[in-house]
Amino acid sequence: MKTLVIDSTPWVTQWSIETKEGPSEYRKSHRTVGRNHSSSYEWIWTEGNQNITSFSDQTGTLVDLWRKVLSTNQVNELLEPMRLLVGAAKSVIDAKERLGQLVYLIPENLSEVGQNVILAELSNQFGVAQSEVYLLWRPVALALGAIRHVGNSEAMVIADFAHLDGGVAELVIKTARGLKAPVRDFMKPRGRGRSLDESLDDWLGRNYETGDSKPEYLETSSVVKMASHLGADLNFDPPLAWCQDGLNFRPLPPCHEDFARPVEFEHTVTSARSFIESLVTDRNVISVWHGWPVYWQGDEVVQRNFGKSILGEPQLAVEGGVEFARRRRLNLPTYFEVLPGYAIWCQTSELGMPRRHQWESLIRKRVVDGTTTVKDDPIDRFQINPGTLKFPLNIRMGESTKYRFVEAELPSQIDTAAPILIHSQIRPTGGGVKIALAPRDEPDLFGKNARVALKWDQAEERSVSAIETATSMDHRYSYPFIIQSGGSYDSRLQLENISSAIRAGASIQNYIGALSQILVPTLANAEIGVPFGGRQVREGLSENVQFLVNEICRFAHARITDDVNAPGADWKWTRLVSCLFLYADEDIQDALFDRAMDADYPVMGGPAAIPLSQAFYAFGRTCRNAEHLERFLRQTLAEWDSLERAPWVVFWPFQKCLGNYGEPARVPSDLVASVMRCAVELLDRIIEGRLPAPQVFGMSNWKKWTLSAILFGLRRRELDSKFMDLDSGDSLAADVRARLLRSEIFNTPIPPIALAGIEIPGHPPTLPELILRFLEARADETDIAIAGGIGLTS
Amino acid sequence: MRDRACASGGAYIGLKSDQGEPASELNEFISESLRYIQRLEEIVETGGDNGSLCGISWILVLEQLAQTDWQNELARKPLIVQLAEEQGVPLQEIARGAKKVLRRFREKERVSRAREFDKASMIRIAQLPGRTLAQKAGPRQRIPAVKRFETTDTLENRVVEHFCRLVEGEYRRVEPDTGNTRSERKGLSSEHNSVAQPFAQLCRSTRATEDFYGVTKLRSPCVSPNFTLEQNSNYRSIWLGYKRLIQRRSEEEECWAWARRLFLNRAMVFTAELFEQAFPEKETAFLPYEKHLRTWASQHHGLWLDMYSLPGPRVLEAEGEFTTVYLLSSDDIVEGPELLHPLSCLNADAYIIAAKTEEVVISPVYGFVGDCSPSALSRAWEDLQQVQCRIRREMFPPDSPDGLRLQQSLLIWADFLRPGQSVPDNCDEVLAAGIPVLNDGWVSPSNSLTTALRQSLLER
Repeated sequence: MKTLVIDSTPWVTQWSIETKEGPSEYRKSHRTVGRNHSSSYEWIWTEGNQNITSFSDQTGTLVDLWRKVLSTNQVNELLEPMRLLVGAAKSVIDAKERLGQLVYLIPENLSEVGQNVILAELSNQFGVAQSEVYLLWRPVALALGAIRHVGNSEAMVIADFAHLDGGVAELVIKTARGLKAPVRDFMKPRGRGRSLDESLDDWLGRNYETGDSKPEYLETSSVVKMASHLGADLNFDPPLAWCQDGLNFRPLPPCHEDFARPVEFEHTVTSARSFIESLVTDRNVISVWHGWPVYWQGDEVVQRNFGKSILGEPQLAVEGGVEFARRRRLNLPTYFEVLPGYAIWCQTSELGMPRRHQWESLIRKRVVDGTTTVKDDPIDRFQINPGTLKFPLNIRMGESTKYRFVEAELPSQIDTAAPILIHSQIRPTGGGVKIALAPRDEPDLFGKNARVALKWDQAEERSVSAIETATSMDHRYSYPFIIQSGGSYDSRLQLENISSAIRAGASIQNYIGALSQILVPTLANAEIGVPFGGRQVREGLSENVQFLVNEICRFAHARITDDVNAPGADWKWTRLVSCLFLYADEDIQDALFDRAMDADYPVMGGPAAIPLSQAFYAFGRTCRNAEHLERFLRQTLAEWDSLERAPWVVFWPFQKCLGNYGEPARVPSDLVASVMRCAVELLDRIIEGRLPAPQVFGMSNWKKWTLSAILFGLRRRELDSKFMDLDSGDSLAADVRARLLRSEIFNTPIPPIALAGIEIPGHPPTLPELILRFLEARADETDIAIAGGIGLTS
Repeated sequence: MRDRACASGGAYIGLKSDQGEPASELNEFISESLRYIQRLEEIVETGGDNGSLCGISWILVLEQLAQTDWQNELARKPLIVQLAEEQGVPLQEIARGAKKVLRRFREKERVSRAREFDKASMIRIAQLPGRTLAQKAGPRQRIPAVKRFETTDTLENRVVEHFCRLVEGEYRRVEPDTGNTRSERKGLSSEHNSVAQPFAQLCRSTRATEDFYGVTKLRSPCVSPNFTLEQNSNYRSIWLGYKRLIQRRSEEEECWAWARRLFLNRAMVFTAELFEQAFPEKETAFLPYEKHLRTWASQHHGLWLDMYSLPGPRVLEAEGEFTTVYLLSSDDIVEGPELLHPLSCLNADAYIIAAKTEEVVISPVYGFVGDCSPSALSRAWEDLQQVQCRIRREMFPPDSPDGLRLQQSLLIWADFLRPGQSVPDNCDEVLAAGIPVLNDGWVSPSNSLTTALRQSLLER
C-alpha cells in the first residue's frame, strides 16, 4: 500500500510516499503563489514567476490561504481556501500511481470544521477514500519524527516554527507494544511562539533596507526566493531583491556584504521559553525544535538554552508523517489521543427537585488510539418530551466555553414521551464528533430523515454561558417529570423476603402493615427514599417484587368487590395500593381502575361516606394514567352539583395525578379549566363558610388539596403555554387569583413534609403565595423545588 | 467577387464569402489564416508538457513556427480524413439499411384486408349509408381504415443525408487540384486523399441509395438530436461528425465576418516575436514574471489567441537606469493601472510600453487588413500618420503630468502580394511591417524594424 505524506506549510510543500520498500525521496516545492484569471478557469501555482495576465490576475499565496483557514470555522468561508490549499499541493505532487492512504499534516489550531472540509477535499482531489485520509497534528508528526532520539524521556515539548503560528505543545510519551508513541491531550494548554511571517519580516529587515514598513512591496518571486533559501540553506549571500514601484521595477540590494544575518534567537523563543517554564512537571522532558528561525542557531545554542533538545531537520515533519504511515501499515501503535469528552445539554429531573438543565456526558474523557474511530454503544436513557415539535441538539466538547447546535423539527407535535437512542462517533482529527439521535421505538419519529444528526463541523457554534443563562431564566412554569429511584437496599431486601413468603403461600393481609411501612412515603422516610413509592424505577422491578405488586393489586381488586358495602371494613390496604398501583402490570391496573370506577365511588354518598372516602383516597392516587384521570374527572365533574358531601374528591386525584406522573399534563384544557372552576367554587364555599358536615373525612385538608390541585393544574401550560394566562386577560386565571388573595385562603401554609430538605432563603411562602408565583409566571428554582416537594409528599 | 471590404477601422469588416471564386485573394487569406491557426493549435497541443503551468512558452512557439515547413501539408490530419476514419464504418452500416419507421395514414381498404381503425375512420364508417358492413362497403367493398407504410424520411436520416452533402462539399474544398498552385497548397496529400476520396465516394453512393432517395433535405443544420441520433451507435457517430462539419462551416463564416481579428492572430505573434527580438531575455536584468501563450479551443469572433497572454515584462538596465518594457493588449490596458487608461483613446490592438523612472513611453500596434483595392494600404498609412500626430498633440503633449509619451506606431498589415503594390516606408510617426498572406515560409520581424522599435522606446 502506498501512502502519500504531505506537509503543506506557508512557504514550502514537502512530501514523500511510504511503501513497504520504505519511503521515497523527500521532495519539496516552493510553488506557493497561485494565480487565476477568468480567462483560464483554473489556478496555477508557481514560485511567483509566472502570471496569466499582466494586471488582472487573482493572486493567492499559501500564506494567505493558511491564514484564512486558521482564522475561521465557517464552512462557507473554508471551502474555497481549502480547495485551493489542496489544489496547490496536488499541482506540485506528481503522484501518478494509485494511492492507498494519504497523510496530511495539520497545525493544532485547525478547527474541526476545517478538518472535515480538508478531508473531503483531499479525498476528492487525490482520489483516496475519505476513510483512508488521515490528518496528523504537526506536533505529533514532529514527535514521531524525533522519537528515535528521545532516549528515556517521558515527555516532549514540541516547538514548531515552520508553520504560520509557531505552536508549542507538550506530549507525553507512552510505550505500547514495545514502541514509543506520543500522547496528545487536546485540552492541555498550548504555547504560541513567534509566527513564521514575523520571522520572515524580521529577517528581511535585517538583510535589506526595507525601512519601517513591512516588505509587502517586495516583488512576489523575490519573497518566495528568500523563503526557499531560508527553509533549506541558511548560509547564503542574500540575493538581489526587487521591488515594484508603479509600472517599473527597481532592485533592492542587501544592506551588507556578509552571509545572510539570522533572526534573533532570543526574540524567536521568548514565548516558547515562558511556556516551557510554565509547565509544572516532574517528568523527564526533551524539547524538539523545528523551523528555520531556530534551526539557524545550531544544536549548541538550543541545548545551552533549553537543556536536552533536538533540533529538527527541515523535513522532520514529513519524516514523522512517514513514520506514522509505516506504523499504520504494520498496524503498530501510532500515537494516542486524549479525547476531551462530549456532553449533551438536556433536562434532568427528579421528583422533589427542580427540573434542571445540565451537560450530560455522551463520550467520556479517555485515551484512544489516534487512528481509531471511537464508536460508543447507543445511549438509551434519553427521551423527547411530549408536546415537542422543535427541539435543539446541543453538544459541548470537554469544558469548552462554546457548544455546537442544530435545531430539529419533528413532522408533528408528539403527545407522548418518545424514547430515543443517541449514537456517537469520533475519530481524532476526523472533523469532530458526530452525534445522531434515532428513535428507539417509533421508527417514524423523525419523519423521512429517520434520524437527527449533529455533525460538528456543520453545526452552529454558540456560547455556553448564553445557553446556561437562557435556560435558567426559563422558569415560567416547569415541573419535574422523570423520577427514578432505586430505594434503599434494606427496603428492597425486605420486599424480596415478603414476596418470597407470599409465594410460599402466606396471606397478603398479614403483611399489609409491614408493606405500608416500607412503601408508603412519610415525613420520616421521604428523604431516604422508599423503594419506589411514586417513582419510576430505573431498571424495572425484579421478578419477585413484580409478583408481589401484582398480588397486592389483585388483592385490592377483590377487596373492592367484597368489602365496598361492608361498614367497618379494614381499608388500610388502600394507601398501600395507591403507592403500588403504578407498578402493576398494565392489565391489572386497568382492571383495578375499572372496578373502582364501576363501583360508583365518586358519586357515592350517604352513610357509607367515610369508608368510601378512604377508598377514594386510595384510588384517587392511582390516577397516574392520563386516560384514567380524564375518565375519572369527566365522570366526577358531571356529578359536581351532587357532590355536596365530598367535593374534594375532584381535587385529590387531580392533584396527585398531575403532580406525580412523569409526562406533561395531557388532560385536555377544557377539563382542567372545569376543575379550576370547581376549585374556585369550593374556595368560595370555604371563604363563605358553606361547608358540609364537619365529620366528613379529610375536611381539614380540603383547602390544601384544592390549592395543590390548582397548582398542578397549571402544568397544562407545558402543552398549552397560553393556558390561564393572566397577561392575556384570562377570566378564570383572574378568578383564581382573586380567591388566592383572600385572607381566608392566603395564609394556608405549605405542609412541612413538602419543605423537607429544601433550602429556602427566609420564610417559606404560603401555599397560595406559591401558586400565585406560578400563575404570574415568576416562580424561581426554589419555588419549583417546593412544588416538587408537594408533589412528592402529598 | 462582390467586394464590400472597407478600411479596417473596426473589428467587423463585413466581408462575404464567395465560394464561386475559390482563388480570390480574400478566400486565400481566410484559408491561409485557418491553416496558420491549425499549426498554432498543433504546437499548443503538443507543447503542453514543456514544464510551463499555463500555456506554452513564447520562445518555444516562435521556434516551432519558424521551423514549420509551410510548403507541405501540416501534421494534423485534415478534417475530411478524420471523418473518413471515424465515420466511415458507421456510414457503411447505415447505407446497408437505413432506419425505417411505420407511418399511418387513412385510406379506403378492402373489407377483408382492413386491420386497423382509429376514431376518425370509425366515425366515417358509421356515416356511410347502409346497415351492414357489406352495404357500407359499397360496390367496391372498401371501407375507411388505417393503413401503415414504411418510410426512411426521419430526422436521423435527414441528418445523415446532410452529413453526406457536407462531406462532399468539404472534399471538393480540399480535393487535390491541378493547374492552380494556390489550390494545391490546401489540397490533400496523396496519402490522405487515398482515405478521403473513397469516403467522399461512399457519401455520394449513400445519398443515391433507395433509402435516402426520398429523404427530405435539411434546409438548415439540425441543432437538437433525437433519441436515435443520441443512442444508436452508428447514428451517434454520424451525429458527432456532423457537428464537427457544422462547426467548421460556421467558423469559416465567422472568419469572413471578422477578417481583421483573424489577422490579429498572426499579427500578435509577429509583435511578440518583435518584442522578443528587441528585448531578449538574456539581455534583461530581471524577469518579474513570465506569461505564456494561450489559445482558445474555438474562435471568439475570429480570435483564437488569448490576448492576455502576450509575453511578460522585461527589466532592462542601461547605465544604472532600470526600464521595464511591456507588451500589453488592449484588454490589459483596460484592467491595468489607472496611469494606462488614457491609452484607450489610441484604440490600438496592442501596446509596447517602456516604463522608466519618470516617464512611460508607448508605441501602439495596429493590425490592418485591406481590401482588394491597391490604394487601401496607402490610405490607411496616411490616415494613421495624421491621426497619430493629432493624438500626440492633444492627448500626450511633451509636458504631460503623468509622464506618458507617445512614440511611433507600429502598423502590421496583411500583404496580399499584389504586383505593383506600393509598400510604405518607416517614418517618424509609423513603423510598418507587412506579413504575406501566403505562408510560404515564416516571416520574422526584420532587424531594421527591431532596431527602430528599440531606439524608439529606449533611446529618445
